[in-house]
Amino acid sequence: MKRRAMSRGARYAGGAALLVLAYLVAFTTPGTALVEGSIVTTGHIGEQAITRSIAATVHDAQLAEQVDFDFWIGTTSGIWFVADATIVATTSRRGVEADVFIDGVRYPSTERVDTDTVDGSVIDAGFPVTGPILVELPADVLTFPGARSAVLRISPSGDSRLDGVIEVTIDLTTLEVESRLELEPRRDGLR
Amino acid sequence: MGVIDDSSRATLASRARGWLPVIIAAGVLAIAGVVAIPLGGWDRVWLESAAVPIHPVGEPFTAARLTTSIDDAYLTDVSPDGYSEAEPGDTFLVVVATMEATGSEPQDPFGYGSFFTFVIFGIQELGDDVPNDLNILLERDGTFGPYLSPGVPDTMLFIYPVGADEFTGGNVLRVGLTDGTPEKADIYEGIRWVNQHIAVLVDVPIRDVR
Repeated sequence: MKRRAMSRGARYAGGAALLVLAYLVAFTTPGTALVEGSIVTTGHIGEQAITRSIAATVHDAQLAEQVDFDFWIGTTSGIWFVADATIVATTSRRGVEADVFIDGVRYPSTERVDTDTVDGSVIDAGFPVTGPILVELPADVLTFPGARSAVLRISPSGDSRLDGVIEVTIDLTTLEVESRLELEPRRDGLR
Repeated sequence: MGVIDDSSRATLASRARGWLPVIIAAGVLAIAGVVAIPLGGWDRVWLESAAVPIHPVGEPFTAARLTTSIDDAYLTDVSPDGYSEAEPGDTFLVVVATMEATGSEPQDPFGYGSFFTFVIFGIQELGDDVPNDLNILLERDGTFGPYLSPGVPDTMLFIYPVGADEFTGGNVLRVGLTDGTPEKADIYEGIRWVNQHIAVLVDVPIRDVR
């Protein structure tokens, strides 16, 4: 049987199609950030969200110009984001950290009061602890476009790639801004 | 007589070609000399782009990581942390700086690795090891080693133990604020800083409050 040779035009078109296909494959291949990214569990205020290693309930959130514990007065040039949360490790004791993300910017929970915040130390499996999460935000944060969809992320401390994290979306513009907020330090048990 | 034949002309041309590099070099030097005369001679000609500008005390300088203003520098025998005591023959040099993280991540006010936010000539320079006796405090509540949230400025105290006679009140402390260019790191997650350099110099009068 005689084979028909491809025309020159068909060969060029085939080559170009293969190049386009190669580009599409390269363009759609997930990057490292996606392949190794955290596995997000979406939570809601008042509801428990569970990941592989931690479970957390964010009870409420507020903004404050100053926060007070028994022996510490927390002033800031910005504004405090304060969330009350209950966190428990699910399988083994874990350190926990919290961040707020607004418009792609990461605001970490404060380390100025390590022992009084719920995310400040290691949490044992099966032993929930309740307390505040404190994050310093810019003073004019309520004017930011992303203030209506700020994300509070609670995650195992250290490298959380390929690990479960909990994200709760909060509209900061709906929160009351207190001039001074007295806080109850971290404590064992549920709220 | 008076006639130059072709062979003589060829000899002159080939001789001139032989001297051509010398003639060009002499020409370049002559032009350079003429240019240098109104500038005061070569020993007084500086490459202006290599000069590091002086920045005012108390004025913020924005770099890729942080906006920093060097506000004050003073010598004290009592550390602002309230408990550290100077070794015999030592005192504390305190550099006061107001800083704000400018990017999308929180920042260590001191810097990372040997890419310090600022250098103090003779104490802490780019590429040095981290001074292990340096204390950094948040001025407002004395928090040790705080991180800066983006967009939340605060005042830091950098406390260096120094020899009691190493610095003198009334003299100037020269601080170099650094900058660099972030690049995606190849062998670890995150960024690396290239083109690390001293961007501006701040001459801070030293106060002696001992």
